Amino acid sequence: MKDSPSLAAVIDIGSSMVRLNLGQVKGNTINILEYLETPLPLGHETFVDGRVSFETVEKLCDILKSHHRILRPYGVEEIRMVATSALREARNKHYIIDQIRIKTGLPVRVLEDSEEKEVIFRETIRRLQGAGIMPEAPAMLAYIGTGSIGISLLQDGLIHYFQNIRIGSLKLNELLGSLQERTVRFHTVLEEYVSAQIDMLRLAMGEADIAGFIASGKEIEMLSLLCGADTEKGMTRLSQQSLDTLWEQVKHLTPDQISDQYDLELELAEMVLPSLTIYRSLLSYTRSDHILSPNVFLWDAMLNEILFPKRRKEMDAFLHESLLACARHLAQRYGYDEAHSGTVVAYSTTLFDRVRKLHGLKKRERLLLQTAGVLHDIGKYVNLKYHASHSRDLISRFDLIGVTGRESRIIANVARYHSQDVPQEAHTEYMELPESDRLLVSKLSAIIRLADALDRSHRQKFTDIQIKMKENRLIITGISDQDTSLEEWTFGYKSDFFEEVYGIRPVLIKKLPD
Amino acid sequence: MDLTSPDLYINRELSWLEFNRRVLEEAQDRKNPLLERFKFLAITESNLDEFFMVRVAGLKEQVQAGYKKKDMAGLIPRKQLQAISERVHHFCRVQHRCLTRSLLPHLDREGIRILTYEETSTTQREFLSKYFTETVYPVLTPMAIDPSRPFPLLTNKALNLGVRLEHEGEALYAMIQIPGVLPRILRLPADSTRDYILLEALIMENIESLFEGHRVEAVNPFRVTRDGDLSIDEEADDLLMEIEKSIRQRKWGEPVRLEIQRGADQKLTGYLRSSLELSEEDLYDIDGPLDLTAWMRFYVETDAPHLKNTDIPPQPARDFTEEDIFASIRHKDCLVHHPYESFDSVLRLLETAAADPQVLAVKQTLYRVSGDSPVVAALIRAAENGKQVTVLVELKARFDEENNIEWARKLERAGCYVVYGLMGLKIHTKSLLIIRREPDGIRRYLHMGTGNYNDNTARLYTDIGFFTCRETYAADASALFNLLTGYAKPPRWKRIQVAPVGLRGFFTRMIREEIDQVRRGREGRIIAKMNSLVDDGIIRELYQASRAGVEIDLIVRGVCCLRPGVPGVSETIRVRSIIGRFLEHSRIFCFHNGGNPLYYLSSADWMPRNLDRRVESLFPVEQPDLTERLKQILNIQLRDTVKARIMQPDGSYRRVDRRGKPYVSTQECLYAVASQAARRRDEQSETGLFVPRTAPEEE
Repeated sequence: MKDSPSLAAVIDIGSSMVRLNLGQVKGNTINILEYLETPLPLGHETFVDGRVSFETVEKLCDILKSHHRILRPYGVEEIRMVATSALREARNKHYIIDQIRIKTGLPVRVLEDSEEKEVIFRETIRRLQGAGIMPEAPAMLAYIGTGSIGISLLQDGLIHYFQNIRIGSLKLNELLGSLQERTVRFHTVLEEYVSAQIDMLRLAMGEADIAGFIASGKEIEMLSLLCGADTEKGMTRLSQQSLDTLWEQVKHLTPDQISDQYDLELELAEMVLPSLTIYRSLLSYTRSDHILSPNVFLWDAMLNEILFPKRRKEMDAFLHESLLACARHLAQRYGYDEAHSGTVVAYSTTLFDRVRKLHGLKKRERLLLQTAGVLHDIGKYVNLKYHASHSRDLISRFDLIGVTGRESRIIANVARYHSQDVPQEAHTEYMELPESDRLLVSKLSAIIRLADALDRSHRQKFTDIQIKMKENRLIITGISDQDTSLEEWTFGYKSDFFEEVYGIRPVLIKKLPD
Repeated sequence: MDLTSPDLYINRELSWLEFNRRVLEEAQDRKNPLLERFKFLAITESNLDEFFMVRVAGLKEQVQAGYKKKDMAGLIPRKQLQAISERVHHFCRVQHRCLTRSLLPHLDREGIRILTYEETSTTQREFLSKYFTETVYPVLTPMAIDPSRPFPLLTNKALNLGVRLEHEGEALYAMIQIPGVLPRILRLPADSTRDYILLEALIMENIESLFEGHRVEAVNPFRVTRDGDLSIDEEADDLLMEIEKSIRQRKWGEPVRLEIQRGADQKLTGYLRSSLELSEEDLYDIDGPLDLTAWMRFYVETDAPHLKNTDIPPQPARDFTEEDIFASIRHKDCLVHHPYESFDSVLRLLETAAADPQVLAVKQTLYRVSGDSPVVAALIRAAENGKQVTVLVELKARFDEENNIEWARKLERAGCYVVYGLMGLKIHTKSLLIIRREPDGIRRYLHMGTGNYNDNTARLYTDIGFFTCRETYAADASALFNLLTGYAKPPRWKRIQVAPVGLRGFFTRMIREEIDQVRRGREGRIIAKMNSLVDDGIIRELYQASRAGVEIDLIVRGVCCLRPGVPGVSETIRVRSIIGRFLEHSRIFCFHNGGNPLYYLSSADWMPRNLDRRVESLFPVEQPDLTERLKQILNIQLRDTVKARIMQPDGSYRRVDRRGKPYVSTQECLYAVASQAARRRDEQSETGLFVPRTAPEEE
């Protein structure tokens, strides 16, 4: 295995700032050698015009070149350049990335919303664990970016719910800032807009009694300065009372007035009302009387994981379990059969592990299969007829933590083919996948189909299954003292596709318990 | 109490003239070696020249523009000019009296004579005749003025002869510039004495030969001073070219002063004054030879050690005990006090870095460097050795631009990344950052100082340099360079404070902290050493502090607009100025902080230009052995009974009343301290006894 680099840099192209973060390993910590922020109003252009102007791209390239000049003498082994919502949502993002590559010779990766939040939440959990303050009672975990917000529900040590909301402090200001001149009750407009966006949280998070609120965001620092904050185990603690007091003081003020009164730069002053609105609204969904902020940012979190890859690995289990927990939480909202779903996940996993030699897939694909297992039947909520198609349609629209758009399409398609249909060229959603993904979908659907067949009656008739490979056969021995004719019959016709994909014939043998 | 009342402030120009008077006192002081007195006299003159070129020229522009705003002392520009003229007229009389009545007679007694032409011997005249024909005559360019030829452009600060001629019954004028390429004070052949003659005397003697066919009615030396402030279009695409252009223009700025020999021809004087469009106020009749700056060269070239200060060679810096300069800095923070301790430590750090294969990058700010600078040479070598070299060059350093452009080009050619300052802000901070790869990772070495990276002035100016490799300092220095090379936003500083972003606020906060200490019943005390105190905002804070009972000692070498000892306003403020053979230049700030004194060094004075219009830095010194040294430096200055002058409430200065007090001369004392430390260091290494020092605390 390649040793982890001792020196690495992250360049983060954000909505209002381009940041360079260069660090080196020093024992168990990171020594930051260079950190710099260069203002660039990318978000302003994307959120208002939907695209980034050529002049701004030009400036961006100049900034990136200067950052690389700073990095050059250090001989940095790994430079990772990422962009978030401002580029992600720009209509011309592909041209911009190409321009950057041509003008600077550097590849930029535009992080998907869920990927960005995964990195941040992973780091947040690591810090909470490190400080020994993982909340026991349910807590809301949030990252308030300038262009988007990530919300999750932390319960029993796992993330149970995850949702991205496409508002953010800067975006809110860009969208609604112009209203400020037209209404004297601008603060009410903000509150209404935000609550309309996030009211569904109450429904989505279910009946969980949320006791804590843990949030990171660039504006925490500014709010702490304005209303006073405590520090608790390296985290910032902002009380609801102080936020409310600040709100009362500033809600009727224009950014100019805020800038004068609090001696803030105007760009920061503009963020005060929108960010206060967001933080206070989110806080009101919880019982907590304060915000606890570990102050986690993308550029720090990424650098940490590049320099200490082990730390990322250590969080794998947490994230895998969290993704499945989120899937179950969603499935529950669609009234799924929990026992059946659990059985399909279990059988799929066993099959996946036993035929590893045949598919050559890894842990990540295993997780996608399990997620599809949890969610495969939720389409029945829409209509029993064509339920597998409905499952696919629903799944592909979920925000699943740490799951990219590509992965979510794979999960959706695997669920699509758990039932009657198998992949075919007439299916446009399937054909839109790249070839390698189509193959992956086929491999995983072949497995989920067998798993689903083994619990066709939804009655968990087999108490155990054993799998063996013998010559050209995959022999599955199911232990049951019940009548399993329905399962055997289904298994019979669903195994054709497995044989087609893997070139090996699955055979089900029923055995009575000893 | 209105702390903005004009009565509480001293006009900065008048306070500056007071400073120049203190320098003149050194020329008058018989306790100083004779030639040193000539040097001080020359300094007062070049100081005054610059004062006219910048300050007086500025005020004149204000008057012309109809600007009538009062300064903090309540004077409109017109009134300031009047007051300046009055004082400078008096000052010049004292200055030249010092030369003609004291210095020259003393020199004569030492067998060094400045002769008039009449006093020269026959042999000397033969020499002079040959010298004039062969050397002087060819470089003279007499410029006659008649209706077809306009008044000539007279070079700034050049010495000229004004000539009134008569030709066929008509009056004519002509000008001859005394060639600057020839020695002004010309050595003559002599047996037992050292004889000199002034170049203008020789030319005047031969004046007829230059205007054949004319009758010379009168000939008198005179000198014109012009507006010398650069006006630069900062928006220009190429700042380098823009500055070159304006240097050419500087020679021809508006005239601001006319100096002419006392008793000069009335018609000639009137003609010059009206042609230059100067008023009676701008006319200075000088009783003696003009342009005293010539005595600087005389000082340098006269080989008479007994008439000069004994040479005090800079001592090796005590903090650099190890062979490996990087190891010394890793061992502990280091402090070097120039010129008592040698500038070599800085050069050695740079030169080592340039050659060290482990060094990856060197970043440095350069404001004023010497002509043939070893600093520039080391940077070029570093670049040639493949290191990334970033140099921030401040081209706008006053009157040094020409020099700056030259070596800036050299650096560029060698492959250094040269950044020419910031729009609208002069970069005055002095920082050097070295990025080095070491077995345990990247380590950054930092030098910051109160003075420029100039090996020449490091032997003449008192400055303090600080070396560290602490991460927090290095991170700040990195951020500072990123800020200055563009694109980055000011970060949140960990250790250093940077103007124009936060330095003013920092000082204000620190002064108020001391007020708080007093309010809590504790001692409040501030000691600040700087070159100039001009900023009215800071002065008001100091008045507030004094009113609250904070004890304040200010060591201000030059301009001080604060009035000390005013009842009910500044009773607890004492101001002293130290003028010695070295130019006091370091800026040290000490805040008592309830008994845990905090020490800071800075490149900034308490002047609006330093706090608001320049990039300056201030950094704390925390290591106990170093704060102990800073404390000692300040204490010696506060106990000085020889070179210190105490400022009076009326803005004048008086020497310390020495009765019953020991002889303490700051610069002598500090040199003794440095010598002693160097001796101790040598003894230790001879006996093999090393005193362990505590390593800097990990941050």
